[in-house]
Amino acid sequence: MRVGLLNEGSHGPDQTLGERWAEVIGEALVAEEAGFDFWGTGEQHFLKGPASFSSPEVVHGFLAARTERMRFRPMSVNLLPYNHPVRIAEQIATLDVLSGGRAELGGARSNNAWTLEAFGIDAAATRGYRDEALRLIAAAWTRDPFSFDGETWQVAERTLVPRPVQKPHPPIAISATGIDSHRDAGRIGIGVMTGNTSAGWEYAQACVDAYKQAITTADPITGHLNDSLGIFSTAVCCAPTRAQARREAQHVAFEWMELMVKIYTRLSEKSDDYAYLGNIRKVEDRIHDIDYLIECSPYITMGTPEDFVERGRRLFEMGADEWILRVDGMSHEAHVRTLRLLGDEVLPELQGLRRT
Amino acid sequence: MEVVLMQEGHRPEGVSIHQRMLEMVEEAVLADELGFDVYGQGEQHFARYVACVSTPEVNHAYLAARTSRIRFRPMSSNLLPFNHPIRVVEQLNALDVLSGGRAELGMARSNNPYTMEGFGIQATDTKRYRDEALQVMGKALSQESFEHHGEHYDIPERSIAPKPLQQPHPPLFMSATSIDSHRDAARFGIGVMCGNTSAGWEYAQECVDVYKAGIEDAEPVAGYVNNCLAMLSTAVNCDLSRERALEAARPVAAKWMESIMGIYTNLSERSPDYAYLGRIQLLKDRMYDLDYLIDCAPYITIGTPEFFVERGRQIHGMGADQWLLRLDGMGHEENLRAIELIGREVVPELHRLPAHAASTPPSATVPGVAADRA
Repeated sequence: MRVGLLNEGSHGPDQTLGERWAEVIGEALVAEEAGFDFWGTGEQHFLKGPASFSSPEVVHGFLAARTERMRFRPMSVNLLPYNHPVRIAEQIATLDVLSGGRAELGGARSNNAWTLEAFGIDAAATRGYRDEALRLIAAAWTRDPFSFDGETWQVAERTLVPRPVQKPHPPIAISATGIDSHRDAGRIGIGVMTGNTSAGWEYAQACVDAYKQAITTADPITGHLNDSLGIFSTAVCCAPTRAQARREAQHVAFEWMELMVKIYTRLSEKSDDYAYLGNIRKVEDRIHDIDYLIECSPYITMGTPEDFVERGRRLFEMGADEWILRVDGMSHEAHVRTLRLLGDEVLPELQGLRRT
Repeated sequence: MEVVLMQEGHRPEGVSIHQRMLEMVEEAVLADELGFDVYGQGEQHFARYVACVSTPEVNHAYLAARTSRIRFRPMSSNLLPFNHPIRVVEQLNALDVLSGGRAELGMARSNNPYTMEGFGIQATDTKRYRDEALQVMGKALSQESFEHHGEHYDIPERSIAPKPLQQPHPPLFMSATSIDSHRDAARFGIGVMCGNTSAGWEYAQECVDVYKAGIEDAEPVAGYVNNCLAMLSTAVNCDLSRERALEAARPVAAKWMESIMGIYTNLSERSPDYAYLGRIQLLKDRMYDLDYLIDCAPYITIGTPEFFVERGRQIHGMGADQWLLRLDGMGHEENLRAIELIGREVVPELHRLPAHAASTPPSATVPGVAADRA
């Protein structure tokens, strides 16, 4: 099982953005030492506080020069008209060249109405944009020359420059929170990152099952199957005792869940396509009950190294190939300690898990 | 006067794109060590001959992590619909924070029909795209929160994130080859990179004069007037022996002249807006005559360190604040050698020449990420 990290540069008003970013860079270097398989930041626009990175292509370019082993996966490039798919394909391919084959693509259709409104995008159209962007990126990476005649994008016959180093191409995965999106990812033969499972363990299993079932009859969009499934956990903190982990990360979980209730509720009302996000209301009454949040699903995860090993094994048994941990929002010291503790005591256990 | 190294990933025969990309890392690191002021790669898409960099935003981020002093300027970000202006500003600001305030932005409407056709863009529309993108970027960079309601972009009130380290914002530049574009850059209150002066020294002076006159009445699109003028030379090579310099740069100059002869002629026929590029035909009979090309304009520059110092002084005397050297394509060892020679013999001499620019350059007021390595 692979273990990756998400860091969005969350910071409070007591800290400048430059200070927080310097910490994030330091934390990524600790992650490389600690043996994490991949690292990524997000693409969030016009935000402060919970997420401060809008250009993962730039941040990953910087970090690739200071690391040697860890892979980079944006989580997630917005597959919407303000990112031309050819530019995405060029950016990931360039990073692939510079990093010696360590670039990956994580994409999403966005679940943030604040972003969609800013760029004038109809919430009902995002799935169509995402699917067309993926087809165009796949064509640019796997055909030489390629051309594309889609609804949103048309490209005359051209060769992508540069082409990526990894053969057949850098891995592609999408973020998914709905059962439908899991099925979509499976059908087109790309990896999936299961995002918000706060609806419970059963919901998480249903996402996994929908993906695994669809992937058996996949028609891979690039001609090459990626059947990797990752599950996200957030408000992640690892400490010698459960009490300490809760003390350090409880507020991160509460603030995160408050934010999710807000943005999901808003978006669920905008389009039928996002109606499932309204599920978040089921946990609305309990978003400040830390015991419940930790137990009810894999989403909020904090505890001792033993707790992490146990949960990681459970996710592996559910069918996950990757566990993606968002370690962000606490103090720099707590982030670094979490990464080192996971590296020393948890990664060796989980990275040894293999499918037979 | 400042000295800028420009590269696009021009490859001699037998060098792969991947190899060239990695060679440029070493060349940029050397330029940083030797005191070049700015380094910049181009944004060329689907390029076949003289370039292989399509994402300066990624390459410069990588290089920022390997350098401590040199500034980075894409030459140039294409202000066309495949680059949303908000994304360009976000990338610029992110690099500024990561590099400790070393990010700049060069922009252009593109003069490459192969790119435009690739993305389905009409040559007659590029000025309008460029001008509106500039407005959006100017607001996003200079206002705490902004909105924009235009022909191509309709953006409700938002605040750009992240904000840059340099205050009020990183310097903005525009590539220009026509007299009109120099006038436009001056009106926008942004720096100009005088791109193709192959029409001669008089044409180069006219570009400078038009810009200098116009900048007096600038209505800045962003937060302050950047009145810096940079003059481009290409097929650059420097050697202790002029003969050796010519020999190594000859294939680069030939490929370059063939390339612009093709794209300028093509583009000049597509829109009145690009008609001036047709003038390149005047050079058709002499495009392989290196002695002529070197003499006729500041454009092709090949020679000894003494020749570079002399030409640098001449360009400075014309009013340039920066000299942009496109040194690329000769082969890695030759490139390194020429960068080293210019860095040791030419850059210190040109640094003695006083700046013309009176605008206040931006300064980083808070520490950035890369400050620890400075």
